[in-house]
Amino acid sequence: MGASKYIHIGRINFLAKTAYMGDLLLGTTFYTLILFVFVQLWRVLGGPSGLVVEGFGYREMVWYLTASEAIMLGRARIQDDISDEVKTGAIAYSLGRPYHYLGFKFACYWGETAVRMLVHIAVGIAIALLAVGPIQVTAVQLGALAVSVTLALILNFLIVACISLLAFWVEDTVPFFWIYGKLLFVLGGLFAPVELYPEALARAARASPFNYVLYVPARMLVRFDAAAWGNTIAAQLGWIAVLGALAVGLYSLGVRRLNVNGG
Amino acid sequence: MDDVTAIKVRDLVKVFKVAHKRPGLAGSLRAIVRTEHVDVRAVDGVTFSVEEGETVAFIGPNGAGKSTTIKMLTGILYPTSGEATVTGMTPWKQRQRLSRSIGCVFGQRSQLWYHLPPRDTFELLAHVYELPVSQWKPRLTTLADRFELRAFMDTPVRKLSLGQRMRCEIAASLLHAPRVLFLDEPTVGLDVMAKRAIRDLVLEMNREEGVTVLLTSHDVGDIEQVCRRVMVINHGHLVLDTTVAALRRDFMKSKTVRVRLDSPVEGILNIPGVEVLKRKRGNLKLLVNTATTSMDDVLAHLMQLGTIEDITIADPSTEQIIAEIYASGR
Repeated sequence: MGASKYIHIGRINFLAKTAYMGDLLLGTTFYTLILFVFVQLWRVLGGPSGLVVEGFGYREMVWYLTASEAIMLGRARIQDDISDEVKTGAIAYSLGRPYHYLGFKFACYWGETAVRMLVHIAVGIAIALLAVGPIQVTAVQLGALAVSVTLALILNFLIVACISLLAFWVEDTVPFFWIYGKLLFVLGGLFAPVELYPEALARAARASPFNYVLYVPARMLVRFDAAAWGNTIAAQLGWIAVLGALAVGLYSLGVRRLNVNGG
Repeated sequence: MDDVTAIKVRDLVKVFKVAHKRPGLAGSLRAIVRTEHVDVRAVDGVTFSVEEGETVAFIGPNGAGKSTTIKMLTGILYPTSGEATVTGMTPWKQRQRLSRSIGCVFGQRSQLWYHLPPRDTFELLAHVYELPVSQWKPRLTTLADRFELRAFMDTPVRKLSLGQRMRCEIAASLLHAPRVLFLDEPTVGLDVMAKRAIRDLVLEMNREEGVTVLLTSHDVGDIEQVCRRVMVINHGHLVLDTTVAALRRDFMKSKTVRVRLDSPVEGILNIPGVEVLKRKRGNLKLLVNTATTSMDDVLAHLMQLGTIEDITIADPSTEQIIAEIYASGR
């Protein structure tokens, strides 16, 4: 019964987001544009010459980028919601309900992410197929990939929640999200797999949780390693445990110092 | 807790630390290095109790501490000190458990899902409160009939009028049959008809289900028509706790009348118990002492002066009532 309410919260947010289907489809223009630019770039770099860097050729690079960008753009943008609710006091309604606020936000996040991911995956697959053709993946690999993508999105939620909850202490969380975005670009391996990085940067990326949000699942799509899958999932779960505890801790501390404006 | 006590508050204090920045560039630079804070005592030692089934107005000017008190009583804010129980529970310690026995409406916030019809929010709330279908479906039918929601139950909230939305907000807060209903400015921004509808509905729920109502409002009309008891808070202190009848008798002795007549008013206007505050051609602003003069008499006098093109009759503001309370030496 406890989980049922969260499922319904997710469901209602899913329905609410479908009210914006037109906007969402329009929003994939940016995704299409980025994929187009990178397809052109890698066609020049890897296409005719057959350039392969660390096992990533033209086709792998395009599919890698399709996957990493789908996760990047398909994640729900809950950061604005949480920060605004804390700042404006709209959190009042959520606090007065028989659910955990973070659980509520998590359910909302999945409701929106489900819509966005479905649209971005569909658009991404269509573009990648048109540009470079199919990539070889088995049904088992796709199942394993789905697990990793799910964990990556949970990890992203927790990082975003931790940053958003800073609104209990600071006036504006936008700069922190700007930094998070850039960390995903670089350490997350948004545009290129970390195998292409200089050694020191690659080491830093692998040691960060950001790597497990984009790089790990995107790489799993193009270069599936069955032997390493268990360790990868364990690492993702480890980061989820750490950041989950941090988010719950920040929330517990923050809610005690909540300063809801009178109304 | 006594069986009949719905809300019990003792010496409740809430101090906010508010960042204070000195003016100018120097002040901004200084604030980067060291933020100064000022303590603001929003609620300062408030004590009261509310019996089950009572309808209590909690009034005061902006920043008086009424919303802060309600937010502490609903468990949203932690008090700096003091004690409170609502239906026998300490709000900030048992917030989630308490949420099942209280309902809240914050007039300036919405709990409805903006892009979805109200029905979806109601269904979601039924799941959130873990209500069995056999309980919430008949309850929703009853509320939809009583609040006249049927016509727009399936219309997206964004397309509803403010009055329709507020009816949905209150119905949503009552879905889980709470024992105490906190209404924080539920009529803010509504027109006269919508305000009346909301007041009637709240009163009806109180009479029929025995729901305890604690209402904050700037609108004296809300207080007069819904509540039997009124508490006045100012600067975080409870300055008056009395019946609405006593408040009306002792501190609401006047009404302000603004009237526009079709022709300029000539000569001295001499209506007993009426003070002319402003006059310009056919426009008059009058202060009527309702303890000595009935509004019927005032209107009869005005109609003798000419045809009334427009008229508004306003109760004293909460600020004026508080000024009266202080003037009375209480």
